[in-house]
Amino acid sequence: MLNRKAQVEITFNWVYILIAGAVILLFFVGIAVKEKASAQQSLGQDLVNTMDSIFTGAGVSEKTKNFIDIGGLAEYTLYFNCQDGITQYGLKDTSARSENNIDAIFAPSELKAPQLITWSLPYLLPYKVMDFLYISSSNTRYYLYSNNQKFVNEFMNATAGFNRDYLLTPEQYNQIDPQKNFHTRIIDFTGQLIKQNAPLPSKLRSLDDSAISGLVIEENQAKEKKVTYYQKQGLVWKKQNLKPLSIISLSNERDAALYAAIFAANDQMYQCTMKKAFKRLGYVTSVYQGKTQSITSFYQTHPELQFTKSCLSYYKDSSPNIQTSIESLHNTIPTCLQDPTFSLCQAMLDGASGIQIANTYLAEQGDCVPLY
Amino acid sequence: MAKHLPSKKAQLHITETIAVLFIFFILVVFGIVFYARYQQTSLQEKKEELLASRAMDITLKTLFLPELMCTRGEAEAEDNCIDKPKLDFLANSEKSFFQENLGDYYFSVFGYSNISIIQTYPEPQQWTIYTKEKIKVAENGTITKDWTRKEPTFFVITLKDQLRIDTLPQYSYGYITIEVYS
Repeated sequence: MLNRKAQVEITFNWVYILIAGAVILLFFVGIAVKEKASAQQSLGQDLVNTMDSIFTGAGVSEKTKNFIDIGGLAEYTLYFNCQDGITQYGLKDTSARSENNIDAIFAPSELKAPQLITWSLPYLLPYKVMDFLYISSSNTRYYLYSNNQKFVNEFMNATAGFNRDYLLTPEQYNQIDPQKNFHTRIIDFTGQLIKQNAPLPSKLRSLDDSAISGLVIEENQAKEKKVTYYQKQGLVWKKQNLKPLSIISLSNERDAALYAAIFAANDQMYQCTMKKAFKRLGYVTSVYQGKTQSITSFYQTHPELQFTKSCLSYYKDSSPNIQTSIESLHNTIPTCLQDPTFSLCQAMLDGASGIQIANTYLAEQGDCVPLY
Repeated sequence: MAKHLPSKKAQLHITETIAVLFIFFILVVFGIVFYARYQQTSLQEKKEELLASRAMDITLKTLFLPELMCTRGEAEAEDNCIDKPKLDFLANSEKSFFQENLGDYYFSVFGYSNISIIQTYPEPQQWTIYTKEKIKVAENGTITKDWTRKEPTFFVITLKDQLRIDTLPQYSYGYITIEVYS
């Protein structure tokens, strides 16, 4: 039999071993937990940095579509929003995010998909102001309903590769099946399908409110387009912006501002991002004003050139002429930036179309230097 | 008295335990130092990677800047081409246009960097369109540089000048230098 001293020693040894073992184990568990958290944060930040580079590349590659497989990150939710002129995107529920107060990014408010789709279009007013970047995903589905077959064809061609379809009748709208898509968006060019408190298609009613959104684009006699955003609220549609937002553009085909309205998550994102574009328009217009001055002084210092008189007239005298039109455009930008619905921005189109007309004349002359 | 002194065996035991603990902590410290060094190196690498990526992003943005690029009406713009009248306007004022609107806008585009355009043919010429060095101001007002590395990026470009008597646009050759501060 062991004596009492030996018994105490053995017990003490075991207790000591247990405590020391537990402390050592805790130490390594602590390191592992900390490392895991830091690896997750670093992964998130890496992803956001990669997204930054992808968006920069996609943003400048005019008219190109990119399909980016992000299979390994499919379980993460990406979010996008725009507030006070700053677009913010990142991984939901993590601190990994990026802010951008320059580029125009139009995207759903949340994406969770194995594939990202990016597409860019130049915004022309009448010269290039910037590239608009549209972001979507393989499981964000768009349904278009329009009476304008020309636009339906254009939309289907332009968005080839996107998860989209068009509706021919209101009955088709009522039968919309969300399948396994993360988000469903309905684009109504008639105002017949989506109305305040109008019921949602039956198969969409059980889904989460954030999974369904809609927008109505209406065009008036003067061909001015306006957009109103809707969101699912229970069983019905609810208007998000009480006053419709004007869509400011000159182009009829592949209209960057119109597609921006289609791809923007909501009225706030559309308004905030378009303001960035209008701000940039101010700077680009200043540069074109400088170029106008250089061109006019060139013609004024070379009166001997036989084409000087006619070229100079498109810059200074004819109606419309570039100098007056560009000045008018420049002067209307501050007013436009103050208007939350962009109604006053329509005035910019007078100046912009004046520049466009005069520039077309200049280009047709052959010997004249066009502004852009 | 001798009865209360620890036995030789117990003394050996204590020394053994202390030695084990000492070696254990030496290994732990060794591990921590190694890990810290590794983290420091990887952080440095990451910083350099980010700097290179930022330099590429700024280069890309500059090459496709509507304020600089050569346009063709509503058709796609000319790649890697800089419009000379626009460039003259941007660079030739007392403070360049980008500098004037620096705090307001263009710092967000270019950050801490220098952007110069160098024409090499037919005649050498240089324009600096943006310059913003990372500096720190000491309490006594002394200005010192606040960067450790400068990542330069070069890109070959053409410069298009349409303001010519013969009405034919002239293309010159050159390159754009973008230096990004760490």
